[in-house]
Amino acid sequence: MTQPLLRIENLAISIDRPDGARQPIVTDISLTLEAGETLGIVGESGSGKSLLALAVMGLLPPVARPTGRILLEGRDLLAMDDETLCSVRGRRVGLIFQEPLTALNPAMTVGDQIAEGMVIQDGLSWRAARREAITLLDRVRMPEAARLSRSYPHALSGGQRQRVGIAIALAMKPALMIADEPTTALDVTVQAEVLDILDDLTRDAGMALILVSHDLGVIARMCARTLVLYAGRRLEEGLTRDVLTMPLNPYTRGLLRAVPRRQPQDGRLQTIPGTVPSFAALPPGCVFSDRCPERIDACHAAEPRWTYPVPGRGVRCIRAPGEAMP
Amino acid sequence: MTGLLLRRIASLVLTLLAVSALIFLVMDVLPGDPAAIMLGTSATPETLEALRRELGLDQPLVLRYLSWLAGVATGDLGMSYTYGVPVAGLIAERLVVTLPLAFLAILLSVAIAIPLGVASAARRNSVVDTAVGFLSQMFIAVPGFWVGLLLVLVFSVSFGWVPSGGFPGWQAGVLPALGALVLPAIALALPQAGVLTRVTRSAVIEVMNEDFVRTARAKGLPRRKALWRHAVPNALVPVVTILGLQFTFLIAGAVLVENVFNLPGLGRLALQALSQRDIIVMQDVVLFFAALVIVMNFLVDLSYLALDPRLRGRT
Repeated sequence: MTQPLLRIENLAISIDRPDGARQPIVTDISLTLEAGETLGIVGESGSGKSLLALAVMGLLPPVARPTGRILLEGRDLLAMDDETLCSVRGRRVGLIFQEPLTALNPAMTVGDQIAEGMVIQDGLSWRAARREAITLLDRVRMPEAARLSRSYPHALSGGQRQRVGIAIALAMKPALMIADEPTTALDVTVQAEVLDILDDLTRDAGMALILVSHDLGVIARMCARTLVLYAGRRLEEGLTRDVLTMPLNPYTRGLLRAVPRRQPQDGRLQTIPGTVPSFAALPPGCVFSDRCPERIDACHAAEPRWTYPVPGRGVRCIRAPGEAMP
Repeated sequence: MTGLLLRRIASLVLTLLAVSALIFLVMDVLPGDPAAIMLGTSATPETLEALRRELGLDQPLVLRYLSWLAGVATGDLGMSYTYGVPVAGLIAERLVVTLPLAFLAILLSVAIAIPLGVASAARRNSVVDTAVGFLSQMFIAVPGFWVGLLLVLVFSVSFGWVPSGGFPGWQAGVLPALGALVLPAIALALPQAGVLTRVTRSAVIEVMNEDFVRTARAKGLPRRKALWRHAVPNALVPVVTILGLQFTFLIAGAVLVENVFNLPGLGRLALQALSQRDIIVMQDVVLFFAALVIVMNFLVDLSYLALDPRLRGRT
């Protein structure tokens, strides 16, 4: 069997609190991603999805303590020193950030920001790298690429800035692209186009894509597989069409009901009652139990295990088929 | 952009005019009659009156102000009462001491503050950070003229590396002249460097948390490169602002330090003129200092355009 592009084994991340205690955030994440595969990670804000994305970049903040293994092409990112990580970042994994406004350096031309990685990592001359940057801007469908490559981020629109963000991540042709809420900060009309560009370019280059989003519509459009996160735990995983048509976890069902539809069921937008609990105050047993419409007493007894009721489907719920009812 | 420049130059001229009026008024209400001081206690009322008329001191205030202003505008700063030579020449020959001194002090304080501030921000809460914090606090707390005396004691009296004071003049060669300026420049620079270090540290810490620094790291830039290429350039605006404000204190400090080191600079000229009621020299020197500060602040405003591209588009 060939080695997968990315294999995360029992990843857990805790944060050092100011009072010295450690607060677990992400617990028990395992997943594999083959070259060229697309995986959507969905969850509400505060579900730990951005932290997971940063962990795969080796860019966790100093207060974060990861355990487990993140194997990229067989090498464990968590065991690497920063120097080795630098040679992986950008070249093997690229990252697209959520906020195109703040993710670009206001004092550097966008062309130079795209070219910089190629100069510092690949040893290109600035002249060659700047030419390459213009080609990249062309590929992300930037109008007047040559002229705009010499402008500063403040002169560009939100959608144009996010194209620059994609061009930066694309510059060194990484095998894995991680996009953390790439369209959340954009106008709806621009969102579709940016997603199109991302889809085309990763497909053309045979890149694997991890798309982090709270928007099931975006995930459905872009990703073959979907992983549902809640409070730092995976609740459900499988092929996107299976997860969306036959959700096994009540939380996924809740998310699906909350997607706005053209014909509202009773004139109101469905929501999941309650809010995501803070990590310091999780309910006993299943983390979703206090908001779950289908909970039974046993849900509070112990946290359900991660099980595979069907080949290729994973779920964490004691009421899922295949799981013995107590 | 040209519109912005023109507006700034216009306000610069107006500020200078206002400052000149203020200076003239203050000098006028200062006690002490220049004629009486020039002639000594034995002068008769008649000779005093004659001298006053000759100096134009019998004219009304507004007329005297306008004729001074007209002179300044045409480059004629008047004649010194005590030296009997044109003030413009006096200022020019003192300037070759004070200007290099101020320039050297700015250079030193930047050369000390930027590396210390950045290092301390990069290793926040480490031993380096604590040490730099202590050092900069000390620089700020200890007065410049006292540091000057201490430096003289160590480097001139004990080691004999540089002269303890005086200025050989630039005709004696660049190195001896610079040598005479090094200690006073350090004395001037240290308090400035202390403040500037702290400003640099907090500015860099703020910028380091920005998303674009993370973007730079995601490209695979090592920490040091992300810091110097992305964080520091974006932290320079507050640093340059403080640098411009400090220039005022630098001028004030020069008056003290030039006296400690016995340097024939503008500061000493101002002090001598004050003690001898050489009002015309006082007026001119103070106006010159004011002009320096105003021009410096203008340059700081211009530097924002270079540092922050976002400002360039606006006019």
